[in-house]
Amino acid sequence: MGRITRPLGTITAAIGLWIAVMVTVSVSAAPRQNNAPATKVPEAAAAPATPQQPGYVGEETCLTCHEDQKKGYHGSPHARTANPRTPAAKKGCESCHGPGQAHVDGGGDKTKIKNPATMSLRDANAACLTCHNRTSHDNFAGGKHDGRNVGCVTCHSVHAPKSEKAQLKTETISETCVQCHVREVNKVHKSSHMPVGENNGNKMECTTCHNPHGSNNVKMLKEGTSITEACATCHAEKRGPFLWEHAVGRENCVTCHDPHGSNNERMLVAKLPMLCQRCHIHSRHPATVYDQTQINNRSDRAVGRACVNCHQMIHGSNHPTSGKVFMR
Amino acid sequence: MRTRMSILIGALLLVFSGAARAQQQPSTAPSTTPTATAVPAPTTPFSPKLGTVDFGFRADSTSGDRSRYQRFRDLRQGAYVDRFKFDKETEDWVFDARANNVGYYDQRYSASYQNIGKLKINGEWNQVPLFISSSTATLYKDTGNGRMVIDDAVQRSLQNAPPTTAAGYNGLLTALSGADPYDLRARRDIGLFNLAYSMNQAVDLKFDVRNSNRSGYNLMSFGFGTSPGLSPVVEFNTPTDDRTTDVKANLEFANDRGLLNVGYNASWFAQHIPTVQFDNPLRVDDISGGPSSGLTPMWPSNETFAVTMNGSYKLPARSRASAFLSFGQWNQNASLVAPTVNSALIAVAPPLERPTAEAKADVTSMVYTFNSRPSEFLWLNARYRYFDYANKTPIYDTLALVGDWALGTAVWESEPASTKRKTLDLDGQIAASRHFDVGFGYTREDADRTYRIYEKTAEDIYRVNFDSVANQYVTFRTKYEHSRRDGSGFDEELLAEVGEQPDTRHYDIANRTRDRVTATLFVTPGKYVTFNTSFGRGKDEYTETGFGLRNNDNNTWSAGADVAPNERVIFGLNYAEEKYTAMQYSRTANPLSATDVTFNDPTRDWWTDQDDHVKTFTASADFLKCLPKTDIRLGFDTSYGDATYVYNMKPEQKVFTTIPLTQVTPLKNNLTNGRADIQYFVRPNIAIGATYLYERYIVDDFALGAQTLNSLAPANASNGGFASAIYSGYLYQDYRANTGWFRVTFLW
Repeated sequence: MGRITRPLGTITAAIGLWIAVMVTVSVSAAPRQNNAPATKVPEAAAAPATPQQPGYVGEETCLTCHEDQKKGYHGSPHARTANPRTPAAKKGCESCHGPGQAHVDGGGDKTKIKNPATMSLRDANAACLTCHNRTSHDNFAGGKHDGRNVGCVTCHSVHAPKSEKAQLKTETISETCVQCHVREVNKVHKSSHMPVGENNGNKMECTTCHNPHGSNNVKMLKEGTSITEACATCHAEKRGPFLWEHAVGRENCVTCHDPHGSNNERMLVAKLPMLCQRCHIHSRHPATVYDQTQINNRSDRAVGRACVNCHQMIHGSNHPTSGKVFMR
Repeated sequence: MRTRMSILIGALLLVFSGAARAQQQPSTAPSTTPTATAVPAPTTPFSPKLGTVDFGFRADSTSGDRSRYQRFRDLRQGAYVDRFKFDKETEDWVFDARANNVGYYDQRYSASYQNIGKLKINGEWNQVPLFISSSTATLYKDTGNGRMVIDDAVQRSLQNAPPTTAAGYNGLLTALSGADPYDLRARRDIGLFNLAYSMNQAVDLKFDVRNSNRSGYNLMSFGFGTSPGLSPVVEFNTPTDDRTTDVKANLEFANDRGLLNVGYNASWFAQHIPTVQFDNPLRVDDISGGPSSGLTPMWPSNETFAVTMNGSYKLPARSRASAFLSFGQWNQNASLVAPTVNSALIAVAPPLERPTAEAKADVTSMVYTFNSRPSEFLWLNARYRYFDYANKTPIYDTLALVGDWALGTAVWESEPASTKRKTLDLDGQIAASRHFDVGFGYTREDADRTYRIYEKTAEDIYRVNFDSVANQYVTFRTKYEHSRRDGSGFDEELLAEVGEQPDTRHYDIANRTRDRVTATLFVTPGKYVTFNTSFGRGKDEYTETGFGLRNNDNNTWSAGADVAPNERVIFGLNYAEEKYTAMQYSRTANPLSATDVTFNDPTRDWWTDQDDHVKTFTASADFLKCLPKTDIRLGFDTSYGDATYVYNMKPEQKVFTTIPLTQVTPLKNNLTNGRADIQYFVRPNIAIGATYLYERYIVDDFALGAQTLNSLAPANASNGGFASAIYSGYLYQDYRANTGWFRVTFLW
C-alpha cells in the first residue's frame, strides 16, 4: 500500500490564505494601535468611574442603586483598574452593560440597559468576547457550546461566582460540567479512572484535557490537533512513531480506551480478551471461546491481562523482530 | 455527587474565604459569622486576601486492596499539613502560594505572581502517585540499569526439574513461595512554569514549560517464545524512569478586530531505561529452544516539534473568519536492540537492517472557520478541518524471530501507518421564536489511510437539534444525529497475510450506520429548586461486518434535583443508569490448506453478547451555619456495574461438542463512597473540624479476581503442570476503608 504524501498544493494554498488573513488583520489593526498608544492606558485606568463619553454615567452612579452588585465584582479580575484590558479600566459597569444615561434618566428603566442575564445568549457572548478575544477563547464562536446555545453566562457569573477561579456558578469545574455531561462525569465513579475528583481537583479536572471555550482539536480537546496527540501530552511514551505500529492505536486511542473511566482494566472499553476479539478473528492463533473452563484452567489468553500478557507492547514497538507481534 | 463530595474540604476553603470576606462587610455578614473586627478594614477597593492552613492528624483503617483505595492519593496515617494558602494583593500586583498534603506522595506546591496588566508568572510542582498493587511478589532483583535478575540457583533447579512434570511443578511452587512481596507503584513529578508578558494593550508573549518525571515500577509481562515449559510469560515489576519536557512559546496580537498568534511547540520524551533485560525463571543456560534471559526495549525516546499560526478576523454582519495552521514533525530514532540475547541463537539471528529506528512523521493540521449571525434569527457556521499524519518511517524487513526461541523463514515487513482526514462541518440555527431554536447540521469526513483494510472511508452525518434556553423555568436541549460511513479500496490481502477471515471488518473504520438521540431537561419551578433529567440512546450497526463487532446499543438516562431552600441549606440528588450492549462474531478455525478447510466452515462460528449495565447514585447535603459557627457537609455516592459476556453458537456447531460450554461469571464492580465533614469556628480565625471518609469497593472479576489468581500463580496450575505464564499477584480485590481527618484550620 502506498504512503500518503503531503499535499503541497493544499499547504501552499493554506499558507497563502493565512498570510492574506494576517496582512488584512495587521493593516486594519495598525491604525487602532496608533490611536491607542500604551501611554494612554494608565489614564483610562486612573479614572474608570469617570463619565468619559456622552451616554455614560460612570460606576459611582451605577452603585448608588446597585450596591449589592459590587460584591462579586470588586476584588475580582474584572475590577482591576491596573489592567488596561479590564472593564474597570475602561468604562466600569458600562463596559459590559452599555451606556447607562438613558437607564438613569428613565428612573431605572430595565429596558434601557443591557443585562446579560436577560439578553439572548449570543448577544451576551458577544459582550464577553469583546475582551476575552485571545487564543483560549477564539474558538468559542462556532464551537460546540456555541452551537448548542451554551453561553458564557450559562457557566460563569460576574457578580455571584462560587468558584475560586474562573468565576463559575458552581464551586468546582466538575460541578459545572456535570450539569449537562452527566454520563461522562459519572464515569469517574467507575473503578478505572483518571485522577479527576480525587485530591480536591489538584491533579486533573475536566479542563485538563478539554477547553470548554472551543479548540482547534476535536471534542474541544485543549492540546494538539488529534485525539492521539491530546492523549500523548501526558502519555508521551506511547507517542512514537514506532518501528512497528498498531495502526488502530496510531489513529485513535479511544477506539480501545474510554478516557472518562470504565470498569475494565486500564480504562478499556470492553473486557480482554473480548476487546481484541472484536477485530482479530485469527486462524494461526485461533480465535476461540474463552469460557469459564478456560478461566478455571488459567489459560494465559483469558486470565490476568489476557492477550496483553504476551502482547505487552500493543501500542507499538521498537524491537527489531518480536515487535512485529508487539511481544517486546 | 461524588465529585462534589470529594472536594468537600476544598469547598470549605471557599466557605472560609467567603465567610471571612463577609466579615469585612458587617452589613452583609450573618450574625453567626466572626465579627469584622478580626480582620483589618480594607484600604483599597480590593479585599485583602486571606491566608489559611489546615493541620492535624489523619487516621486510617483499611482492609483489602489498599493500593486501589489510594490509587492517586496518599492517605497514610499521621500528622499532616494541607490546604496552605497565602494570598497577597494590591491594586498593582497579586501574589499567591499554595501547598497541599505537605510531605506526602501527592503533595503539590504552587505560586504565582501578577504584575497586573503586565506580567503573570506561575510555577507549580505537583506529585501524582500511582499505587498499583500491594499484593504483588517477585523473584526478580532490580540490579539497576534495567537488569532484572533471578537467583541462579533458582533458575538452575527449575532447569534441572522442568515444571511440566509434577515434581518440577512442585519445585516451581516452592520457588515462587520464596518470592519477595513488594509494593507496585510509580509516581509522576510534574513541574510547570508559565509566563505571560503583556507587551502592550494588544500584544502578549507567552512561554510555558512543563517537565514530567515518571519513576517507580510498572506492571508488564514478557515471554521468551512459544514453547510451553521452556518459554514462560512472566509478569513482573518493570522499572520506569523517564522524563517528558514540553515547551511552548507564543506571540499573540489581539484587538477588537482580530487575532494573530504565532507559536512554537516542542516536546521531548527521554527514556532513562532504554532496555530491560530479565532472567528466565526456568533456565540458567541458553539453548536454541529457550534463553536464560530476554531483552526488551522500553518506550523509546522521541520528540515532536510544531509551528502553529492562528488568526481570526471580524467581518461585517457579526461574522468572523479564522484560520489555524500547524506544521510539525514527530521523530523517534532510538538505537535498535539485538534481536535476541540468547547466545545459542545470536549466530543465526537476523542482522539489524539499520542501527536505529529512523521513525518520523510529518503532521499537518489546518482548521478554517467561518461563523456568522447575520440577524437575530439566524446563526451559521462552517468549519473545515484537515489533519495529515504522514508516516515517513522507512519500511523495515526482518526474518521472523519470536522472543528468543526460534528463527522462522517468513519475512516480516513493518507497516508505517499514515492517516489523513478532511472534515467539513456545516451548521445553521434558526430562532423559531424567542424561546426556541432549531438547528440543522451536516458533516462530511473523508479519511485516507495506509495499512488498513479500507484505504478510504467517507462518512456523512446529518443532525438536527432543538433547544429552548430562554425560559427561566425550563431549559431543554435535544439532538438527533444520523450518520453513515462507507469504506472503499478494501484490501483483503492485508487480512489474508495475517490469517484473518476475509469477512472481518475493524469496527473503527468498518461500514456503519449510526443513530443517536440525546435530550436534557432542566425545570426550575422556583428560585431554590431545580429538577434535571437527561436521556440518550445510540445505535451502531456495522452493516457489512461478517466477523468482528456487528452492532452496539447505548442507552442512558438520569434524573436529579438540587434544592436550596436558603443560602445555608443545600441538597443534591442524582440517579443515572447506563446500559451498553454489543454483539461480536467469530469463528474458530485453522489456516486454510488442502487438508484443512475449517477456515470456511460456518458451523465453527460463535458470537459474544456483551451487556454492560451501570447505575450511579449520588447525594449531598450541606448545612452551613445552621448550627452556630458550624458547617456540616454530607455526601454519598455509589456506582454499581455489572457486565456479562455470553457466548453463543449455532446448534450444529462442531468445535465445542466435547467440552460443555460454561459461561464466564458476570463481572461486578461496586464502588461506594460516603463522607461527612464538620467544621466549628472556635474563634473568628480558628476552626476545628473532622472529616470521615468511608469507601467500599466490591469486585468480582473472572480474569483478575482472587478466585482466579489467588497468589503469585503459575498458569494452568489446575492441570498439575506448568504451561505458560507466571503472574505477579496483581489482582482485583475488595477493600473497605475508614479514614478520618482531625484538623485545626487557621486563618490569618
